[in-house]
Amino acid sequence: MTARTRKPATRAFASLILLAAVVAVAAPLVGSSNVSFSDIAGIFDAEPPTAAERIFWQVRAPRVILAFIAGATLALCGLSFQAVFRNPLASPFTLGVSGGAAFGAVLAIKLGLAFSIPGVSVTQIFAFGGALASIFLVYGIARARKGFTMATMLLTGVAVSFFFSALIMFIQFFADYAHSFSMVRWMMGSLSIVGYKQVAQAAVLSAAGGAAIFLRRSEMNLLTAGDEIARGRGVDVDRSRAAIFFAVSLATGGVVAICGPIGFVGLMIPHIMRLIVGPDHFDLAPACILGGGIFLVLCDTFARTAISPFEIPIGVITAMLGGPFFIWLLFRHPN
Amino acid sequence: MMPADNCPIYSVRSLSYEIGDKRVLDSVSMDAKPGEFIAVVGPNGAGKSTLLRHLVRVIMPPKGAVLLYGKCVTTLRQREIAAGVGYVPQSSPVYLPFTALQFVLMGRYPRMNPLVRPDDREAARALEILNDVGMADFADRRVDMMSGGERQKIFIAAALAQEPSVLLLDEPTTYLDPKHQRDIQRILQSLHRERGTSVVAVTHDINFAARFSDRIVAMKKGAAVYDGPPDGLMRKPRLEELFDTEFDYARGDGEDGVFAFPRRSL
Repeated sequence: MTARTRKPATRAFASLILLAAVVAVAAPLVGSSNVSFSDIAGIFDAEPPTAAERIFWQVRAPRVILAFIAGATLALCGLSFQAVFRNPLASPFTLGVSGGAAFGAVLAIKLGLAFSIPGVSVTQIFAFGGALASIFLVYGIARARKGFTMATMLLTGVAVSFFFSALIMFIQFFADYAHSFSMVRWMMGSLSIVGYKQVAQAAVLSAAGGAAIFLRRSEMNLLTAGDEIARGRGVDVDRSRAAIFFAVSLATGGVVAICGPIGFVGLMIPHIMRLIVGPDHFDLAPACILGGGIFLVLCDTFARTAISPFEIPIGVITAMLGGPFFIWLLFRHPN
Repeated sequence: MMPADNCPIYSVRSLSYEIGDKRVLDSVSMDAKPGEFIAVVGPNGAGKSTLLRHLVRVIMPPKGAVLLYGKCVTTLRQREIAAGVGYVPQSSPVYLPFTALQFVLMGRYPRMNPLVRPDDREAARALEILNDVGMADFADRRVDMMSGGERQKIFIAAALAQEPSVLLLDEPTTYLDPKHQRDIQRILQSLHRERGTSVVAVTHDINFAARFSDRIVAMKKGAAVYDGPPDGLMRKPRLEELFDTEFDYARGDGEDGVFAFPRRSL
């Protein structure tokens, strides 16, 4: 926060930036067929691209960039929700974003809708709509109740999530095997079929939402101290909260629409970064962007290589790590 | 927000507030003039904290008006209110992971650009404030690891970082040991006497209220039942009627005036 307290954070940031750079360069080299630097160096010459160059630049590089954007966005959104709700278990997914997105995607698959606007599939559009709809539904229901509190909103999120789960099961029950498989596969999250178009789509929404969150670092610090203190210090709590909600739905919706619901990143990374750089959101926000990005690129690299040539859905890996993390969190925060 | 000469800092006019069918505030009117030390006393559930929370717009006034320097608080931005009013709430959160220095710096919010990180000059200022409340040595300690008394001083320091012309405190000495009670009283007295900061303090300590305040507002069942000098309240049968209990009285030395103690039942 100041020169007095910034030193450890400066060291942590140097390490995170270095790690991000190493991971960003190394991850696209690794895969079912490894690529070396000398293989890809010829991309700038006049020759037509080789197979290795294509794999690196057209398949793996956009995928690594998307993984970084998705990880960074989910971690930043998780951080902002933990501050807004003053709850270590709050994340956009706790509020039914993944449930809403999954319902949208499942509905699109079931209806077999084939239309698309250029570069965006109907499943993505429906998933994005579902994510936005769920968060606005939760916000609307919770606000309509007299004596609205953050706990009310969290519980509303859980209720809405369950409701969406029920609707998804209902649709799945009437779906044929092919559709059912597509639905389950979508809900496991994936970064596989990806090009630069999808990277650009995710980047635009993530940048817009992320910037809005980033500009509210002072407010997030004060919201962590509670509504009464935040108001006393001059924060327009309702407006800040609404702005963060809107930003989170936009950014998370954008990511989930393309990658599916990749859980636990938004929950785990903010806690890990808090241990490394401390509680100040001026440090935490950029740390979550770097940490979330690095984490998801590593998870994706593992997903691509562990049982190569097959891929493990990335949501499965983050969830496998998330379960034990929850238990660790429980012991760390016994209250 | 600059105080105008002779203009009351606060004018509360016929302020009422209800939760469900319970009337928590019942047409309360009061003024707070610049430089005044006002104590708000009364039994539990009298509406004292609710009144204070209206003053800082933690609760929006649904009926009646709260004017800050002549302007209705509903028309002011929260930051404008915070630039003139420091607020120390009754309870502090269990989880407050910031160091004392970080927390006091967060008090600078209404005075600085919220988009930028507080710089070293702001940190030096925060350290000065911590020093003023005798907590400079605690600058790098986590607030939620501190004792109640230490925490209360940090909360006062954070409110002072707003450079307020009026400080609102909700039971600042309740649950504190005698040393910390005295420390807090000294801090408030020095702020009031040396810097001319206005103070509105909700308190259960009637002797503290009588000794330090210029004026006492006594509340019961949501209404302001007394508004005047401490001497007028510290006597039979007013205090008995206010708290529905018997008191013993003792005269202090010099200017200390009268002290009142709840009568022992045995």
